[in-house]
Amino acid sequence: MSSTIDVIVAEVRQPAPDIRTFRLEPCHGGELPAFSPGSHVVLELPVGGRAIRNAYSLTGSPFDRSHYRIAVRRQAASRGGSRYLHEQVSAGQVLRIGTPVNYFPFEQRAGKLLLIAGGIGITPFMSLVPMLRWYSAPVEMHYAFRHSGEAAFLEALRERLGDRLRCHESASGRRLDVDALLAAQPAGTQVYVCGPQRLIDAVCTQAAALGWPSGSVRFEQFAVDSSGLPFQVALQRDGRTLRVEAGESLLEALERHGIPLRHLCRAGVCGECRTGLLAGEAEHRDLFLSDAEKAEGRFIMPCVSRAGGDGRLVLDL
Amino acid sequence: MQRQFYSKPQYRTLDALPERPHHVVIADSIGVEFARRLLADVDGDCSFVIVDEVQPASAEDRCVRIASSALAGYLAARLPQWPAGTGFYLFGREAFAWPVQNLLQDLCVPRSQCEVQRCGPLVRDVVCMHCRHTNRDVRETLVDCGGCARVLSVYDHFSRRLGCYVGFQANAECERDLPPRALLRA
Repeated sequence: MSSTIDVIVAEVRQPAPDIRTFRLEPCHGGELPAFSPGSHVVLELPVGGRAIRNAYSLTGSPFDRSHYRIAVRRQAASRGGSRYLHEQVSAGQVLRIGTPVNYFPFEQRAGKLLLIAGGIGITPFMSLVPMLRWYSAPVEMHYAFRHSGEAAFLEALRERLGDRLRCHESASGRRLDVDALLAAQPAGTQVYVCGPQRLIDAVCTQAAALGWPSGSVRFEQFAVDSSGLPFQVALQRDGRTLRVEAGESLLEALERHGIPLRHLCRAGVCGECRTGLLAGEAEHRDLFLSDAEKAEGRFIMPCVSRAGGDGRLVLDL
Repeated sequence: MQRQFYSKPQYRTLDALPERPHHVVIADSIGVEFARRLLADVDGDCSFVIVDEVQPASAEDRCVRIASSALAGYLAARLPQWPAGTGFYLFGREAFAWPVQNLLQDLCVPRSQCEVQRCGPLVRDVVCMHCRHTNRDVRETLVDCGGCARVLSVYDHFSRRLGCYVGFQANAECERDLPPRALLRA
């Protein structure tokens, strides 16, 4: 994290069985840094003797800098970050966070804003809702979830958006039909989608099939896939060879061995941690490198990508 | 091979892109016939808009004729009815097509959805960078500015925002010693 802030957990709520919300206030008073709708912060969490850094969208109003709000869904298959926040963090505890970063900004100039959220992917939209009065374009939000009892912020959204909110409860048979939704949109529509990877893939695939320009769909990956087998990484200039464990990112392994690497998003989006790849076959999972760059194999994004092939990489570090 | 660098649009004959769910063809009176060639190959839904000062406000099948002053209002009203992904094909003089493209961008249509085919004689509209007067239908490398009377060199530099080429005082350090006039090339 480029710059960190110590915050105190002022309030913890549990609006749904698997979701906890946290109100974070500055430890030493004053105001927190400003942020724009769609921003997130990275939390540094001490889990299992090492520091895990997870990104969480800010769900509060950008107008109120006295505190930040985040919402965390308990992930069954996680590296422990969400479990730590659910089981071990309570009011009064101090956490370290990074300054807000935004890789999911909302365009003010659009013919129409179509917002699509799946499950906890609703979180980056929450900081946009208080600002919608400044958007001249028509807004339509589609919120897909399994049960309404598990859907975060549902009542607040109904109150603020009224008939601009369309809910899709799969347990009731009201699944979101992405193909039909996109086919009905007018020219000039800008789509924002956040949620499970299959939802993002469905939106991108259908938009491409309908001839939409690629810039018309913007998405935020909701969770980073750090699963995979352990692998070896040799550092050419440093001389050391490290083992990256299953469930650990390459960036985390470097940090664990005290090797600093510039980074920001930890989600394969910003490009800050791009590192030279001297040998070995990478399994690229980032959204930063182009397909041509991935095929060329000269760089890797250690925050998300891993070793493929024979499970060994040589980095220019 | 030496790379080519361009400061002006590179045009080609437009074809309707089959992946577009709807095609909107907009032409001035010079571009109409070129536009009809593209329309002849369109299988899917399309709209044809002819911007014509002579015969405005008449309509025929798949074709609307409107005056240029009514185009902005027409597009703003129709855009919500055309599906996202609609392709826009603009045919006509540069001084017509590029302002229409800018108008579409103001209405939030991405530039990548709009294509332009220049039609008609090889003439340029040249904006004087000293007095901002636009000199219409310039055919030569030098033009006497209708706004400030300077002799302008017509540059191979096109401003998409203005829909014009740019002109500066010819041989500004010695204005009496002017280069010879020549016909503009494409």
